[in-house]
Amino acid sequence: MGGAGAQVSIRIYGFAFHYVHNQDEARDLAQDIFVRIYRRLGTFQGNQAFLPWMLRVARNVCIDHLRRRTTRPPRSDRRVEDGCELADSRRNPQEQTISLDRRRLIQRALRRLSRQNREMILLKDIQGLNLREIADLLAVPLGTVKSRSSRARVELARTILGMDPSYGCAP
Amino acid sequence: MSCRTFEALLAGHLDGRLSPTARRRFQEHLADCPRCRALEAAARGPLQVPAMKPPANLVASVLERTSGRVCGRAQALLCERVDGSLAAMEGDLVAGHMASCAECMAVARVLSLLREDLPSLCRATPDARFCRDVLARTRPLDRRLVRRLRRWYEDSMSLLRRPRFALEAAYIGAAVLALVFGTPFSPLRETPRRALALVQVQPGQAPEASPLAGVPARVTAWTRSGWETGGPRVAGPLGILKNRLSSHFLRAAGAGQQLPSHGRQLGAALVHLDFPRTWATLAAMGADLGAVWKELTTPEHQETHQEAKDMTPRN
Repeated sequence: MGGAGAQVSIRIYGFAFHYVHNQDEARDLAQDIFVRIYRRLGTFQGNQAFLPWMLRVARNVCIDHLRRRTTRPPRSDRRVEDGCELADSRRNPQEQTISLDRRRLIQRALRRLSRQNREMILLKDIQGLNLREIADLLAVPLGTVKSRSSRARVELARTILGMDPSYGCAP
Repeated sequence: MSCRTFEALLAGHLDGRLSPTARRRFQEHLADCPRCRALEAAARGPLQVPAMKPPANLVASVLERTSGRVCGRAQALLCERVDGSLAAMEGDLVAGHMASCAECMAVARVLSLLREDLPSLCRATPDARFCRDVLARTRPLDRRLVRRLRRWYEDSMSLLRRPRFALEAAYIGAAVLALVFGTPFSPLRETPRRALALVQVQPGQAPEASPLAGVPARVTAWTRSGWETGGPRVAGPLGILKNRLSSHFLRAAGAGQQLPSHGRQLGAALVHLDFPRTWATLAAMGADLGAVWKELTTPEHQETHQEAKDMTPRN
């Protein structure tokens, strides 16, 4: 798999991880997403952006997986603190450690949000889709996406403050 | 004049609005009643109100009841403020609120940090097997073959998913069986009766006396007669080899003579779910098969090969 494929795999794996919060499950799910994308490549139209199309396929696979998991739950559940190896290595070790703690805190806070708010943050703030693309993907009006996004971010911030009031303060 | 009437006229007296009659009656009561005299003196002096501190959330409560919750409205605009898309006037209002609200200030701080931290969460590295497994699942095979197999699979599955498939299959199967075995002109019309007679045990007849019990003996006789009649005609090493093989097969058939009866016992044990008997029968059948195998692989058999090889004319 080439460089572009590796970048996409990192992105897809991160996307799947935010749905299932388990490394092994996210790995299998990301494989399914890749295979689904590979098989659906014929339906991709050249005049549309690839990222929203890819995330739409990935979201559908994730939702199908979650529905199946609802009917047949896994034997064991793993905590999110057990670790997801994040791929950011741009900063020095101390800053990286601080950032890693922050990310773990954010992941824990994300798990406490409702699925709608979590998905909104995942699509807009994590994956970087714009409001119009999210509105097309979720098939909801643009104003609804805007208000949901704002509400989700504030909810996440309040959840983080509830878990760690010193979040972001200088040590 | 009563004290209650005096209190009612007190404000008019202080403002000079009483009629002459009322003023005269007011002055008479004022001279007679010390309590009302003290009240009139207190009302004429400066007002003494004790200083009281208002509750901390008085302003917020009033604003919440008049124009909605301030923090809620401010936090709804905080995201736009963090993104830099908030209008100047609303920005000033939010900034003014944040200056006096520690909670909204903290939320704004976290939102600013989340703007930097959240995009980094889109990257997570899978393990090394990931790419290999994905490539294994997406490797292009012969596309035409895959397409045909997929089409065949989808057609088969759509056929199987039909609700009446089992009923139709039963109809078709019964029709085929009736055509093959039931028509008067079919060459196989006697087969069911013969098969039934072959396995049927008559009342009072021992299981060993059934027609199946004679099968090994028939095979043995057939083999012996075949080799005895055909063997002597073949001279040389091939004839010797066949004679030896014939003796091996005869001994093997004799060793496996109990296999049919053991097979019947196994079937009966399985039908009655008698597992100890099933296990014992399987062990006996294993012993029979071992004896057959031993007869077939005796050294004499190897000697036969060697002898035949030795007898082969060499150039």
